[in-house]
Amino acid sequence: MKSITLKKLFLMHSWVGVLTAVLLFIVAFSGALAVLSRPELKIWANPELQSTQIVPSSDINTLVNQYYKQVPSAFGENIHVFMPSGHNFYLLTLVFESHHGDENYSQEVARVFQFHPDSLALVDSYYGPSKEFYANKKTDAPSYIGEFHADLHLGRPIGLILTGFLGLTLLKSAVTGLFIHRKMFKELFTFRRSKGLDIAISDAHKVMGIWGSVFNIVIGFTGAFLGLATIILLPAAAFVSFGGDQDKLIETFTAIPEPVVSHIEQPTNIDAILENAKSRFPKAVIIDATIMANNDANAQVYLRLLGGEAVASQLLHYRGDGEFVKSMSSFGDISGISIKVIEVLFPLHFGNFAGIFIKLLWVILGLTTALLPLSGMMMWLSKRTRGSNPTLSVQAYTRWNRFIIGSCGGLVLASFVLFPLQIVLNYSVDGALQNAFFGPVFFYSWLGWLLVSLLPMHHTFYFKLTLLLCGAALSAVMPLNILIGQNNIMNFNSALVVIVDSLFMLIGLTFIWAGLKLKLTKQPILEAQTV
Amino acid sequence: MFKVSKNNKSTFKAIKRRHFLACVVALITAVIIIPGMTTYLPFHMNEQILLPIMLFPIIWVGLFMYAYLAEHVWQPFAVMLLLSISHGLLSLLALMQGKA
Amino acid sequence: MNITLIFCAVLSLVFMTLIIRKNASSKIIKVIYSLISLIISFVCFANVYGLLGGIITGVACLMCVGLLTAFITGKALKGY
Repeated sequence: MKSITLKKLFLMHSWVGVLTAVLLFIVAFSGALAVLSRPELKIWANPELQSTQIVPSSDINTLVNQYYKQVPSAFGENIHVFMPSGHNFYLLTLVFESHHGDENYSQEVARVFQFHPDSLALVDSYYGPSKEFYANKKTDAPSYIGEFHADLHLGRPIGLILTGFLGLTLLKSAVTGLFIHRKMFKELFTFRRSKGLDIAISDAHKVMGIWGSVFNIVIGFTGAFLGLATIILLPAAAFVSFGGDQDKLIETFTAIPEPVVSHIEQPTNIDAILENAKSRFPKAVIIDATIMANNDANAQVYLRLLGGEAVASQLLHYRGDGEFVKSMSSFGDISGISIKVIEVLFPLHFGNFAGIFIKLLWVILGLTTALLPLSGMMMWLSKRTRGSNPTLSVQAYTRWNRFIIGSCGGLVLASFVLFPLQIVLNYSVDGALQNAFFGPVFFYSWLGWLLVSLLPMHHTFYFKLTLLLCGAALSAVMPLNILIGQNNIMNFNSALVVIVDSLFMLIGLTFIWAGLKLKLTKQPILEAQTV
Repeated sequence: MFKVSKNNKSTFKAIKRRHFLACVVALITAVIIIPGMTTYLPFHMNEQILLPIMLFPIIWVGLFMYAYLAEHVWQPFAVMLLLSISHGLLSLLALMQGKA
Repeated sequence: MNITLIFCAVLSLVFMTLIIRKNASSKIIKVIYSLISLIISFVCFANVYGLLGGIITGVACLMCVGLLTAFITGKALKGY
């Protein structure tokens, strides 16, 4: 390859990397945390889920039939059963929907009943527009972080477009990075931590970039697809065939046909269907069930499964009498290779297709994706302070470093603060009322820490403070849980809570140790003098 | 805040036009290509719609890189213009045929 | 059983990265040992996660093991 081409690729890699560094860190770090949000951290965050996430099929059958008799007949058209698996609602949730409204509402309306997963006692009920119910469902710290990763809480479409474009830039950076590091096999293990910070960071950037290249390309590609699909890609693709009507396109391909009600009574064998699904795919988790024309001869049941050998999530179609019809894509009964590829994009991005080991791999690789733009930015900045004619003064270098620590470190701090907050909220605030706290605490902690970066202090001191505070936030989780939590390391009611609390403590102490070990310059609270 | 290196100016000719091509025109071209591709791909309707959607990130990255790597700035401009016009016309024809 | 298979797979990949890292070995030796280790790890992962899941997990685990090996051990000394 010509040297001018390499130089161009290097400049492209640098410019895009520098422009998107902070945002890419934000999305990648929150993504690394979000990998564990469902179901592990969601179970940790909700005491109701900690005793059990599995409700016996017979109990589900009993509850569906019991409440089916209590709701008006129009609400029996569609029944959704959301399992308390930690992927959706934190309670066993039965949603009886009337698509055509009722005497009070002209829009889709729902009657909802939510039960404790263990005791099956009725905890909550709702009657009103379906959209409002789904929009106001209880969130928790891990779900909040997961939603932040998806659209930065900027709403749709702006948030999704931004994260989608970051996926494109990550893809571009990964591809150009591979071209410019031609000595990739020689540099596979080159990490000289004893040669000084600049060399260590440069080596770390190359090692993470080379080893993580396949992962970064996959995440960039899938992230771009997930972010832009519903906002730009589907409407564009629907432009010719459906006049730009994306909803019509989705309906044509994915609509589950409504059964014709025969008015011949035949009990819908929900428990047999659930047991059959579990025996067919023992490693998969049943997320939810949709029952159409319940207790009718033409009843149809659709189960959504996640994980197992299929990798991608799937939809199982059963007749009401328990007869298995077919397994299909979770998008509907669509043929062809493209849909199979698209199906796999989701588990490839989320890493949620086969248990905790794969999730840990995704967390490690996700953290390297987050550290890549950061290390690249640091390389770019330090290069500009070197030489006989540096383009960046020492003062400006310190300010840039403080900005990076404030924005990126601030995000880490804000995310970590949500975990002790979750324990406090579980103790003091009921149900969906908790939702009002996560946003303000998260964004004000982040903003507050970013504003601290304006103070005239050395960036190493600022970084030390950031590490200590992050460590303190995480370390506070276990003691708080012991003091006010329902299940904790002392009563050992939930193994998952014990493991998560212990890991939080371990990571928190590691941050504190790193912060204490960090050597300061002689003047930690005075800005570095201009050269 | 930063001094622009003279080396960057000599590496890329017409740097501002390349920025515009890469950041704006490449995106518009890639988006126009999607409906255009649905008109000529020789597959079932599912594939005709899903394949261009899947190819979008690759097309965009390719156009983005070409905007900077091409020796002369008119080259990527001509390619993107040709792609946009051709796929736009294909989409328009298909729409008009559909309405008729 | 699953945990044992995953453990074996990870060990194979660690062995593979250490072989690749070793400067003293010839390329042919590196390729042979790497292939054997790769096949063992993919078979182990496929037995736990199925064919597609096994391949994806194998590739991801290889990336992680390589990264951690690089950070922990660094480059091998000349002659090693």
